Amino acid sequence: MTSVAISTEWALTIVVIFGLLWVSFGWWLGRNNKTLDDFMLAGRNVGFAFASATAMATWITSNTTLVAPQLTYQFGVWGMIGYSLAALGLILFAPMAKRIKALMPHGYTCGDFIRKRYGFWAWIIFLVVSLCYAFGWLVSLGMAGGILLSALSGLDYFIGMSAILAICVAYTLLGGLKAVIATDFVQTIIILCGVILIAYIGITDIGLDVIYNNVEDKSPQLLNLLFPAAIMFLFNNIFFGIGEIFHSNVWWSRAFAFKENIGKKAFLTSGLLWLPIPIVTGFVAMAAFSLDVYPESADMIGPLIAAQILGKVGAIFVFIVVFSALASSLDSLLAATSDLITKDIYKGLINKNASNDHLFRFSKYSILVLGVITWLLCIPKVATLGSLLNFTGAFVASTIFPIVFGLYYHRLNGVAAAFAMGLGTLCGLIAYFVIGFYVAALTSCAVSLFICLIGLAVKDQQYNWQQLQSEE
Amino acid sequence: METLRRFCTVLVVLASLVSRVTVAEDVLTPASQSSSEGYYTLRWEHSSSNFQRLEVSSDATFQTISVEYPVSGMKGISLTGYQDGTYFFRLIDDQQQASNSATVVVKHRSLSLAIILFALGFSLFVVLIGVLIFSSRRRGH
Repeated sequence: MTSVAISTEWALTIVVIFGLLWVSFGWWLGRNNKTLDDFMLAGRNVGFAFASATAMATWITSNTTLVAPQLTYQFGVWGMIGYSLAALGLILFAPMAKRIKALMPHGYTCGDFIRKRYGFWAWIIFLVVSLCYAFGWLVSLGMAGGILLSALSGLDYFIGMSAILAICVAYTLLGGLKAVIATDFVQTIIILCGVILIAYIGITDIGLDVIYNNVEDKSPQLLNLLFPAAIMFLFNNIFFGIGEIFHSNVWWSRAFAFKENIGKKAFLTSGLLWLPIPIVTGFVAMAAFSLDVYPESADMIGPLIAAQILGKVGAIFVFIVVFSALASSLDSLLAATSDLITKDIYKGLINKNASNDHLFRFSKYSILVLGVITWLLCIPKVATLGSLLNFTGAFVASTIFPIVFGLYYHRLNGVAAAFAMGLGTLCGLIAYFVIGFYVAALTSCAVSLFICLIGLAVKDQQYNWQQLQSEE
Repeated sequence: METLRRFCTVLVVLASLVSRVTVAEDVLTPASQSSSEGYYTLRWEHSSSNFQRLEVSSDATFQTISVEYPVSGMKGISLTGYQDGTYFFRLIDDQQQASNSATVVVKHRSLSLAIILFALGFSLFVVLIGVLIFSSRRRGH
């Protein structure tokens, strides 16, 4: 079933209206940005409601709206549960956010922490890991925009992908983190209403028993709790989600930006609210067998089913929901990656004496350049969203234990942390190609923990926590 | 006798194929001829025929069709949830003519490997939770 749900004209109209809305909002919010702190960290003054909304909206992304249905369609029950447990990343980051804010009240990026805590080489490896992940996620989000427009309206992939990237780059450039957080708040409300409505109509119109019987009849493996690849996928996805959050500057920048004592509550709340979302979006994919709707590419299943359930008007609603979900993550990632490039690469390696005013201007250029590079990487559409995203799992899961041990224990030294991240990533990539994407993060994390434990046993670094508060 | 029976079977298969296959080129192609996960993609991008349905059978002669998928207007399909086995696919167009048949062999990964990895994941998770709880409490005090 590929008949498009809405006309190309409608799709373009929605993109233009929402584009203008977000860009104007971004400009309005950013008009008072005077300092680097204002632009990068929203003045370090974000309250509980905005903090929870931005954490939740950023985590509702192509993962939850496109990849969660895709992986439920491919891995069945375990795919759905495994995806929802990615919420553990947000929940477990809650106490860490408090610790980060306490250790580095004037910090800007996660790179700051790794450099001061572990030294130069661990920092370089971390930057490589972090940037590979950031580009993997950015490209998957850009691709998701193109796939969404193509699935729902028949609009060319290239145009859809270019449109969503241009809009997000424009308002992030104009408003900085303030615009990102404020648009995330509005987008969260749209997403929650949309997801609940789609699930309600799906269950009442089709019926749980009908959905179950059709899956059992046509794709019985999806209900099999001893489905080998799906069992492997479960903990892999949990560690992938945890790795994404623990290492990424998207979340660290929020920990720095939230008011004192807000981070822990905000991350806990957003994690608990996020938990059921992939169950709902994933469940939608199970209706494929009852509706006789099958996608050409597995990552198109979510929007196709939702459009089929809700009809033409509903398809417009679905379009807005998924568009909001993508924008809320894309803007956050652009802002956070630009921070990392500005503070860690430009100031850390290229221009150590750059003033904050200079960095303020540089961070805007870097958002623009990031947008262009992402656009170029999205053009060939080299993989499905699920496999592209999980490729980065090998990178991020290797950082989990070096970060946790680095935040709480003074024993772990930089050499062990660097080896843990480097070898963990390497082994994760080998597992990705030899076995499959569903074991990459797990392998990477296991190897990384093993090396960290050796590092803890061999040498005590006696790290002085005060060094984290120093300017350089 | 056995040879004669095999010969007859081959003739029946050929007759069945000749009677239905009029599309000369191999339009239906699987992305991969084997799957370890029970999901796979089939494509027919290079055909101008208006195919209506995709038939799935567990025998090469398509004597019994196990599932049919509606594919009108599509150029490919992503299928999931298949158990171990060899599956044969062919497309039927609006003139009831069949395409070439494609074969996909599904052989799931070993369950024991999956359980070992599950146990490894669970152990890592317990370690992580333990470290976080213990460390947070210690720092709190």
